[in-house]
Amino acid sequence: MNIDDPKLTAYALGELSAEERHAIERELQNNPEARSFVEETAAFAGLLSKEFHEEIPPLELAATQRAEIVNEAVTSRKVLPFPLRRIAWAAGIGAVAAALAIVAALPSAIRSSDRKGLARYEENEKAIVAMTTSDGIPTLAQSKAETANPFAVAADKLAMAPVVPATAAPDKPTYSAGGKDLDVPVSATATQSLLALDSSSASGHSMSKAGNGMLKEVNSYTGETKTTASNTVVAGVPGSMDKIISGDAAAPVPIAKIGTDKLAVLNGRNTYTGGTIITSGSLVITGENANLPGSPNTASGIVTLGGARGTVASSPAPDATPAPPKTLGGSGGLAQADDSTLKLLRRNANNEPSISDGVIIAKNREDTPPGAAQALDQEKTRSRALKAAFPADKWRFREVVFEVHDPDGKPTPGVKVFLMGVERDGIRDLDDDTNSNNKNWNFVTDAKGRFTARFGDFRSYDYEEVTHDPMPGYGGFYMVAEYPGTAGGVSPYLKNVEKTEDQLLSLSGELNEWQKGEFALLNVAKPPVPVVIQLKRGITVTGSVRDLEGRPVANCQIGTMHDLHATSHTGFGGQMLPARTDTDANGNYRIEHVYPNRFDMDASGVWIKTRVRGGPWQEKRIDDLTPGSKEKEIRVDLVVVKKPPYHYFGKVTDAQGQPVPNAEVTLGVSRHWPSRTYGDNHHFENATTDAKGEYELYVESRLVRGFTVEAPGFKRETQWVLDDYSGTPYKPGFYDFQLSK
Amino acid sequence: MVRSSAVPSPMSWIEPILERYERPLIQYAASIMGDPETARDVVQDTFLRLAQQGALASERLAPWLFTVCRNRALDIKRKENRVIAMNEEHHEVKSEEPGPAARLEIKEKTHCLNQLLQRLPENQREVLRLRFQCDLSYREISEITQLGEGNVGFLIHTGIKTLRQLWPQPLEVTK
Repeated sequence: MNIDDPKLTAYALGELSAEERHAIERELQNNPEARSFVEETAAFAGLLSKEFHEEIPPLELAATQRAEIVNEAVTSRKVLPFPLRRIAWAAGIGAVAAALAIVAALPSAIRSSDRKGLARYEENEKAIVAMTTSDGIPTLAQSKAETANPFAVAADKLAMAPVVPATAAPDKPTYSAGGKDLDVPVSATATQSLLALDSSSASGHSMSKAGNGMLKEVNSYTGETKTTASNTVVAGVPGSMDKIISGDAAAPVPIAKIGTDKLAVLNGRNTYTGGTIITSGSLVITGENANLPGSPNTASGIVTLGGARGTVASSPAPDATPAPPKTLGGSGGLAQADDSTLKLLRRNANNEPSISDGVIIAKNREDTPPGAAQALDQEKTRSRALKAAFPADKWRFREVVFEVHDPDGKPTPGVKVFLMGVERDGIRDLDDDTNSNNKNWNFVTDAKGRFTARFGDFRSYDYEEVTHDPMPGYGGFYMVAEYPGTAGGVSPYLKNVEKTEDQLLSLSGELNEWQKGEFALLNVAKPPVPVVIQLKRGITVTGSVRDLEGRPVANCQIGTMHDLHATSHTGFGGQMLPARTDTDANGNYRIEHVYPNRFDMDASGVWIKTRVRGGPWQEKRIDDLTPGSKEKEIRVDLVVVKKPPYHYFGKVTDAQGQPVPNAEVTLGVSRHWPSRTYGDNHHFENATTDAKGEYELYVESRLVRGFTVEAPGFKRETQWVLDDYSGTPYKPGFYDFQLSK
Repeated sequence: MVRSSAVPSPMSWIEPILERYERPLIQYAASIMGDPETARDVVQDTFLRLAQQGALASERLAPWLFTVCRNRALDIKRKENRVIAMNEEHHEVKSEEPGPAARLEIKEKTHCLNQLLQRLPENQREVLRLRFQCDLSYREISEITQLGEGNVGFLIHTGIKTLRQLWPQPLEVTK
């Protein structure tokens, strides 16, 4: 066995099935190398696990965030949604009510932080699932009468004798009502809670159950089923059930469908009100009275589809209309069994069908990829929650007045100003038309040189989702003013914050040269009124452009641009105040009114050499410049060429040294070391090997971060320098790669 | 609101789940977002969705939580178009947590782990984190990341191999 086999790692991590495990163990006996690999890997995995867990603990949720979640959980559902099957089988629950036991038992099991404890817990649970899903129809023949009956059964209601627990699972007694009503008041002290009914003999009669626990239905059963306590009815293996009456107005009881069987049928007039939970399998509603019970006007009408396999199907009856429950959700789906009409209705307060919000999208089943409906459903739920949490008329704004001054300090009318976000929800895509004209982001100064902007007391992300109107919310911003004859103006850093001190503190990590510690905290201190935006006199950037032979390059486009993110990691989204010109016939250029702060330059062609301020020529692109405080003019001469000059080439072979054609060789090529922007850090060039397995690439920079080589049928190989650029770039030259299968 | 008398209160069903998954989820979201503060919002959203959705079979719970959390984090990250390195200054340190010296040690160690992780491709980093920090199985990781289970195994295998080579101290194996 090759020790570079992922299976060995999986074995060391305990991920293999018993069968695979045994196979590996047999191998290991005769392979000391693999054995020590496994031992080392297991030891290292332990170390890794420890290191990972010791990582600086992240923030916990804020108390308010937790409260919101718990509140949502309590108000959006009335039942304990934890897997109902566990109620029936969990051992040692004792005298407490099953529902209570879940809550009590769970934390001790899952709070266990060590992996072993967790694994035990999971194993236990799997066993529980297995018992539930594999159980068939209990037969009376296998019953043993002597086992203690945990249920107190009213004898007068039970004409037929065998009221006996099944042997296979002593806590799963099977009852046969034998043509009589069956009344099973499950004792409050009963530890077992599942009641299986051989319904062939119970048809036409009623069955009722009090106390906690489940009723399980087998075969068809048309009697009336009454339940009055929680976690109650499981419609079972292919069977049907109707006239389920559960709970009362004061204490509605949910109906649950579990088990992997495909079909359970609710037919007839079911009047239970606690909602329907389908954790797996399908639930079919048939008959003229078919509905999913639950009044749309109360929160109780919830059909929950848990598990991808849970579906609700409409009935084949013509015009069958599953009356809509209040919420039809979960990760299952709503499926229509045949070509009958499926109606989804939403009723308004007057009980008239209406759709006041939300969308119903009808699609042919074939058109809907698996998961699409689910995603749609989750999005809708989220959107509804947002709308409920933030009614559109309740948004709060803060109005801030700005005043633009010319270089002499005079208020200036008619200046175009736009708002640029740099953090969090502040970021806006400048190429997006809705933003380039949006009144919340674009302004012109009035006769007094002023304008008013609004900042919301919300996350723009949420706001936009509800109102479809991009509006600045929490985040960091600048106002950028453009005015002919000046370099333009940039406001102080504007910080619109949700909270106070901690936000203020967290600012320190984010400041760059545009911020310099001056900022207006919009939701905290009162910003100066008005906030002044100072138009500045610019500097001049001038120089010449030549080719490698020293000939002037005419019509070369030269541009400058400022970036509000200049020192942040994001590197884009903050470009502003662009200026652009072409070189003349002598290859010279001059750009005036460049804002006197750090700026970027760009040139058409491949820029390979630079001379700044008349200094020595350097064999690289120097496009990130900062003027001195007194400097009025900066000279930048550059050499551009037409084709990228740096040559990377080599051969890709397999383990036997045979050439690998059609291998893709990818180089990560940066312009800066370390690269300053995301874009620069994610620039790639690639080539494909020819029949001889050879590739070559000419790239514009010698700053190559690394290689990835992949070919069909081979393992992907990668070799990269550190993301923090502490290594050195790969110089031009030949790089050969050997791939393994 | 009417509530069945048999449903015990005041503890909500979601609280044990919060207890168990809150920190791993924040840690995971922070590793995607690079920012613990936003990660916290993402995790709150995740739990709110769980609260609205309700019943989930328990073996589906972890994959569900991590998948929703991951999608939400990636969604926001895409919207924000920004990649930030972990900034440790953002972390709150509570009084019951290790003292300054121990903290420094932890910080250095994890800083080292973090640096080493940086040398791995993103997909390897992510699966290693899910396996060793969030204690999820290959199958669960496969479900969350939409990678095949074999692929997950391969990534973890390769990631561990690389980390072992890079690890500063020699590894002691106790037999």
